[in-house]
Amino acid sequence: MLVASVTTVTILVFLLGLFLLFFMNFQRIRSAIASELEIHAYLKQQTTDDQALTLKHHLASLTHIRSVRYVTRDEALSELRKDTKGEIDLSGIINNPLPAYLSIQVDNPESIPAVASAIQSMKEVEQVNYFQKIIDQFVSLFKTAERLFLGLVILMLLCTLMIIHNTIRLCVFSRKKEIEIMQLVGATSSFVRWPFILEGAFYGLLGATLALIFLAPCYHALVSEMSIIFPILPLAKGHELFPLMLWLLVIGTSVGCSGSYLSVNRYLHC
Amino acid sequence: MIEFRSVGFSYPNGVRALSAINATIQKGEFVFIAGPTGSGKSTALKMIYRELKPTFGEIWVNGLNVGTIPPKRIPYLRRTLGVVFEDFKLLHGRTVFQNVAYALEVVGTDRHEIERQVGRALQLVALGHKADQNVEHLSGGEQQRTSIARAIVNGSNLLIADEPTGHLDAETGWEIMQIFEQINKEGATVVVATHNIDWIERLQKRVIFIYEGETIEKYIKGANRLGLSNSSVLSP
Repeated sequence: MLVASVTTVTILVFLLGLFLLFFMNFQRIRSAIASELEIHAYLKQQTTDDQALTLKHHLASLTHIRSVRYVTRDEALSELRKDTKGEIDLSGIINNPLPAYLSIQVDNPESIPAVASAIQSMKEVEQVNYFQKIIDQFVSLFKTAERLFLGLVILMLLCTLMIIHNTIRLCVFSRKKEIEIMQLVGATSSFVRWPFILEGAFYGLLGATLALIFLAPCYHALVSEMSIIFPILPLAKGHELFPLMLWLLVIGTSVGCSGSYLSVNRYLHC
Repeated sequence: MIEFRSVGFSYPNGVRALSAINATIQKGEFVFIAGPTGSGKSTALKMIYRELKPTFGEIWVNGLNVGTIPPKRIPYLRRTLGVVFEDFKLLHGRTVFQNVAYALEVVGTDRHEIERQVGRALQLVALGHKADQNVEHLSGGEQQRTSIARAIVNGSNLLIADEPTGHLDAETGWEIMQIFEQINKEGATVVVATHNIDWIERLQKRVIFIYEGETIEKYIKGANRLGLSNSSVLSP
């Protein structure tokens, strides 16, 4: 029975851990992409550097705005030359046609349209660009994916709880006679219950520990491979995984405890 | 010591197991509860230690109405009496000592006192030399003696036995009966449910006869069917 219980907990916590790791990294990638999205507020021709810097400081203090960068006309032309190097010959440009602009990053991609609309109303701003279509698609895609993932995680968690509970219930059922005898000689419910709860906690903790022992090298191998193929992906590593590992240990132990408690209670008459 | 006052019991499906039985067992008595299989003997005993709750009537044990005690007080009732079962009900995987000691562990007795009391109980049932043996390795008679030792180790003055020789041969069964007699001589009240007329006739103890859920007053013809004389062994 020890082997059955511990094996069940190990397998389920391993799978749950895998799911949670995927979900965690999915959110990290989402945040990383969101942080790269920018609003460009192109300034009017007559806007001076001082006015632009004043506007920059004002925008930086607003809600949802994470950072504001002022790009002068000359810097804009340099950036264009760098981006188009070897593709377009810009040596013939004498008068810089490019406007200065403010590059704004927000904390939350969903707030981009509202922020862009607010910036558009400012007198120094000529035009606001934020690649609306792409951002709308990004927000929609990630929202859907996030809900799907969250649903799967919740489902996985419920399955884990139910299967572990059932396995422990079978173990306790096989000791039903023992519980009955204990009660017949005068043991109180708590006297009968506590050894089973501690046993369940031990099985849960042992199973979760074994799951982590298997999960760590699997995840490490996966991250190593992904880092080679997609080096820019901000995958969680090292100490960033400690909170999740701790949660898995807590989940394993809690499920073991609660499974035993509920199972023993079925056979206690008082 | 034990008093049944118009006690009846019906199962949830409506089957009536006992119908308003009245009986009194005095302190220090040795009483048989006799009757054919299915007559309600075990039901009557189970109500004494609250394995079953009377559907109506009252059962008084040592001044306590056991039908009204709350469920969380039942363990404390069971610590004041000892019960011996037909199928022994021992904890498998444990030794004789551990099985007997369990009745003292549940009340928080310290280790030294447990060793003393368990030793005494095992001596009484002549199993002192088998204290460290696993109960699965014992014979039926030895297992029942272990069960008796567990029932008396807490010093209770009431011993209840439900068909204690049901799984034993005649010779071993008689040894068990003699142990009950010895316990009774030391002052404990002993109540034994049985359908074995041999024990009743050999020990010549008082009998409460139950037939189809009712006591002997109403079913004299049932007693005659079992060959019991109504002058020496039947309860009033």
